[in-house]
Amino acid sequence: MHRVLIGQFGTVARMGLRELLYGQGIEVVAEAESDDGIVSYVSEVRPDVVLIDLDDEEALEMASEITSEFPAIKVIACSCEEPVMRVFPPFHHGESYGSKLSAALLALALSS
Amino acid sequence: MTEERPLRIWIDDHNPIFRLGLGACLEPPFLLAGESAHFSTPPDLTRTDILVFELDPAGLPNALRLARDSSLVLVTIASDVEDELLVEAIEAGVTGALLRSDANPNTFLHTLRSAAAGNGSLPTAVLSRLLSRPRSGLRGAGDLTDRELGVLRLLSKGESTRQIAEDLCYSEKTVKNVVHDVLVRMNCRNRAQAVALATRRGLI
Repeated sequence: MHRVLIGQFGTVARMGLRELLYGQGIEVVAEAESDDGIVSYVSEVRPDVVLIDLDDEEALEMASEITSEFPAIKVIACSCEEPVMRVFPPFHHGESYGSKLSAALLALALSS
Repeated sequence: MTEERPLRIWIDDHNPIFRLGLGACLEPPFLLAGESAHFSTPPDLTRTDILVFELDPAGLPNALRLARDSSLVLVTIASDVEDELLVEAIEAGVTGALLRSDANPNTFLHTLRSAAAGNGSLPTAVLSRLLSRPRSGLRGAGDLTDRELGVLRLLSKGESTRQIAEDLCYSEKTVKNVVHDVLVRMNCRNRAQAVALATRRGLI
């Protein structure tokens, strides 16, 4: 079972993510109040997947930092405005692919 | 103790995370009737009291069409306070509006409660915009009495029926009657629409 860390999101988006993950039986091991120091938080929590907010202008930089520091961790950046997400698979040197965002596709990206 | 009648909410938003989050904000008397993205699943109007939809050029006419000839209450979620569609939506009879960036369980439930009570709810920034719009000078004020204009002015400040009654030394019943007359005279669906129209026409 994958252990998920939720990064900084707006309140409604955070509730939506919890709802979505809970519905898929996925465990949220921690939620970051802020993205400041997220890398050290990841180091502490050691999740399998980190979810970050794609609408945050520093999202891609953050994903790059996490994947370079922790190559085995998957990062998924989800937009809370447009139905899109960007997935950074583990051991891909920070490479990523874009995808449509739906509950089913996010659950698939999380568990695959 | 009597229980409040459940109010069924349909949520249409094209982002699944935000849509699920809005649904998770609901608490009694509000119940989730269903959800959709871009109205791909049409709301079941026999089981929906309030339709929450995102404000965009396709969503607004869809929502207005659904509300036509029905008692469906409309609440919109807008991304941008500067969006001209927001003013159009309020003038067309959308009862409540909430900015996406302001959305949290408290603001969302407050907007739903106000809309359900027919009071309307607008973000302060939107109200400020309505108030600062150039006035058309189309008075039409001859149609409204001083008493009706006085009530409208207090409504535009967000006062409740009780507060207006206290301010103007009327009974609450009188205030409700005046509001009813204003809505009929202005051909408006609710208080928010009447305030928006009166503001735009420079009546208040």
